[in-house]
Amino acid sequence: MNEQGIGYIADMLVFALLISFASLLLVGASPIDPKIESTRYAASFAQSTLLALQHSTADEFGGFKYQLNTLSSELNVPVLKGSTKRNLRHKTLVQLLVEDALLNLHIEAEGAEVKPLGPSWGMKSELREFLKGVLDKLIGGRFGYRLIVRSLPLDLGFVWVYFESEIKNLNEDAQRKLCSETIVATLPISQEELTRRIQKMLDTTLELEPDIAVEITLELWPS
Amino acid sequence: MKERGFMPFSTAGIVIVMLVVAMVGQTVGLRHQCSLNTVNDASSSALLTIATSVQNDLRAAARYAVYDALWPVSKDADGYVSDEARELAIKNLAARYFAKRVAALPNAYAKHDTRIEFELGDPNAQSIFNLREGDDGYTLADVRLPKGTRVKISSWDNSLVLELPCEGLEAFIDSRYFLLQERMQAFISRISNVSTNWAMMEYISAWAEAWLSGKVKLNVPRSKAFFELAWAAHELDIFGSADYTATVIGLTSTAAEVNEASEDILSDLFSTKLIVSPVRAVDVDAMHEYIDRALEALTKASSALTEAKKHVQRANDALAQIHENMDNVDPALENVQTVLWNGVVSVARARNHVSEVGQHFEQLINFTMRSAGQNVIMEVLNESFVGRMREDYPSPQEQVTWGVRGTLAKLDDLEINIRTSVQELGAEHTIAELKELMPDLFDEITSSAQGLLAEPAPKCWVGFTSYAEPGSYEEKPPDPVGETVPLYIDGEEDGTIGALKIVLQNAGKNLEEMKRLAGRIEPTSDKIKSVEIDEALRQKLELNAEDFSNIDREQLYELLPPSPIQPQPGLSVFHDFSIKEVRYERKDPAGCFGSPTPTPIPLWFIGVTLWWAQWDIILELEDEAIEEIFDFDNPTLPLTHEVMGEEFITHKPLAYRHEMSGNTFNFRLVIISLRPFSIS
Repeated sequence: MNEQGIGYIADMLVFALLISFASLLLVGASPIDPKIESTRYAASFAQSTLLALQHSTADEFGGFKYQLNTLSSELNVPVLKGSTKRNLRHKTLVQLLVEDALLNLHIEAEGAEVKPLGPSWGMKSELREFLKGVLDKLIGGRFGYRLIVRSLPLDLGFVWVYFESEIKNLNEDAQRKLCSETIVATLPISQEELTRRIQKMLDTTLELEPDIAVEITLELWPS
Repeated sequence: MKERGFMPFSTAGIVIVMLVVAMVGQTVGLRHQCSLNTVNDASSSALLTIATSVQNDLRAAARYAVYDALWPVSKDADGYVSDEARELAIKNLAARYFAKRVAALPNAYAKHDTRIEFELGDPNAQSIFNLREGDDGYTLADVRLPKGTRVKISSWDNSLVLELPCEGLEAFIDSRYFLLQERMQAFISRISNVSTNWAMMEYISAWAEAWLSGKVKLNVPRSKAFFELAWAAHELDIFGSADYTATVIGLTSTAAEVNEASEDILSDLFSTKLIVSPVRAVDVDAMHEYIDRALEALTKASSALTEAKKHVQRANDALAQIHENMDNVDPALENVQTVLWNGVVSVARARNHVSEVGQHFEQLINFTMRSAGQNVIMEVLNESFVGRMREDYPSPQEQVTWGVRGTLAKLDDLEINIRTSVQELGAEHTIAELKELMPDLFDEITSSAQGLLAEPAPKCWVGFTSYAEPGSYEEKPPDPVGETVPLYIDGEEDGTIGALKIVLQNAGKNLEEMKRLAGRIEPTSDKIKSVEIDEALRQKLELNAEDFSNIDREQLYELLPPSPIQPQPGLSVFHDFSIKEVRYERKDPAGCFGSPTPTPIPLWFIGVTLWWAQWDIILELEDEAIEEIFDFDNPTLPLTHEVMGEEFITHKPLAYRHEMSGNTFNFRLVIISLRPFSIS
């Protein structure tokens, strides 16, 4: 093996090394970022789901009904027992959410509810269960989800007026939220009427305007 | 390998690495661009979602404005002159409510998402609402917003702005306003059915009393109870349900007035099977058939007797032509005898026909007896044919039996006389003696036959009080007058063919009269068919209404309307009315003149008295009778409701309330009975 032979071998080794390095560079190079892509898919999915909530009626998911709570003796007349059912099959899912928000607005003082429970307070839990079924069907296990409906709280110092409801089905170990999409929907009541009602309930004059809109946020998480 | 290459391998490797680095650099740049595009794409689709959600929110605002407008207008449905006026009021009110809501939207959106801008075209212009009927009576609202109304959504960096015009919306209202309106209209336009139902109940009850107990007691509590039931039946017919609680409360309070339980009133009514049907023309025609056959037999008997009379006359003429100086008188006398024998045969034939009269009349009585099992009217008619309607006036059966027996006896005498004549002709008499003897015999026979055939004068006249006939006067009947009726047969001695003919002819006329009067004043079978109250309603009437004492039912039903009786169309009913008064005005002649008995219409020749009583029954309601229906199947309106002094918003069904004023219900009650009855 003369010197020329040794130089030749070294040249080959350098060549091989350079080729390997170039290959390594190529392996990592892709025009598409999979993380971005999955986030985009999730966002698009969340938007479609929110649109579905706005357009689909309860009837399309088997119908929604709840029972009025008969709190007074007047409502406990036996012959009227069958009349407490409230079948809201024609309402859209967002309608149900905003009506629930209006019917079950929380008024809290020092963490305790100050408003007596209304006849429709049972709607909240029934609706949560119903919507969970709906979202399970719509999302179909592709993602974990959390649907949050909330209004801006009206902070009067001594009392809080707000609405918040959450429906979720997600893996507690999930680290990273894929997306969060929000739409705004207004309550089925006018600003004046809502103000009047809150004033009447609290027996005070409001200086701030209560919020007549709720945010409906859908977060998607990896399943 | 002596030749050198183009370049060393390491140089080539370096070139390749440089090329790869350049390519990777290009890819990274591309990847960054892709990511930016993805973010932009997601952002623009998010903007579209928000814009669509604002549009949907506007649609919801329109829906809630219509909800709010429907409630006050349909709670005051009678306050509008027409359906169009009512719908116009809803449209205007909805437009007002919508304007209020929409005015608050820009602020509301801005509080949550500054990217949303909502611009209401011309702030002075109002949205225009149009209502139309959807499937199954649901409501559809078309909303035209002011021109230029739009939703503008910008991306956070304002690089993307999305503008969507919102000038027209269609909102589905899940409340069956149009169904409620249409059903209430039907209820009011067919309110006369309440009178019909009520009249039927009064008829059933009064007829059963007249025929079964002989005492008709019209009383206010019972009429009120029947009216409550009739109202409920009308509600059930139109709405598929009734305010059965109100009916039970009404029944209970009226029953208390007569110290009965409401169940008693109901069970009396429902257990009354219709055992009385109006006089049936077919039965009268069948009876008339027997009378006609008897009259036919009498006609044949008359012919036979007339023939016998002619034979006797011919015998008399033939005897007159025989002279004493004739050579041989025997053949001539034999000829006279033969002619007289023919007379005997004719009399025997007449007797047979008269016997047939008796048989036909017996068949008539048997027919009424047979029919009596299923028909009270036929039972009474049978009694009338057999029994006397007054002590001094024999029954039809007595008259016909006496008439037949008396006639047969006279025909027997006649036959004996003719036979006697024949015997005399065969005895050893000279012609001169015969001519002296026979004319007297022949005269006796002829006059006897004439007596049998002639129309007799009445045996006596029986007096009675006669009232005006039904339908023969307008308002007030003329005073009753004294009248008499002839009696032709008061024993066997009065029996002749002529007398029988008059009696039977008059009996036929009386049957026709009965049919005519019954046809004119009796109610139709439909009117007095048994009362059929829906079984489900009857069951509901068993509820205990005490739960509702001290409860504002109308307010309660707004929240908890009672379950409908029938599943379709799924409406609940509330009513509230008070009966101001019930008046019974006697309209038959005896009643008009203050008699506590019905008006008698005697039909002497069939032994029947038609007892006729007639009332105009008038029931007046207090003003402001309320009829209200609820869309039970759609309790969808989020509205305020007060429970125990606390106000709540909850889901309520749409109510449609109609207040009625000046309601008077009346009908004519006619009782016609073949049995006398008292009235109290």
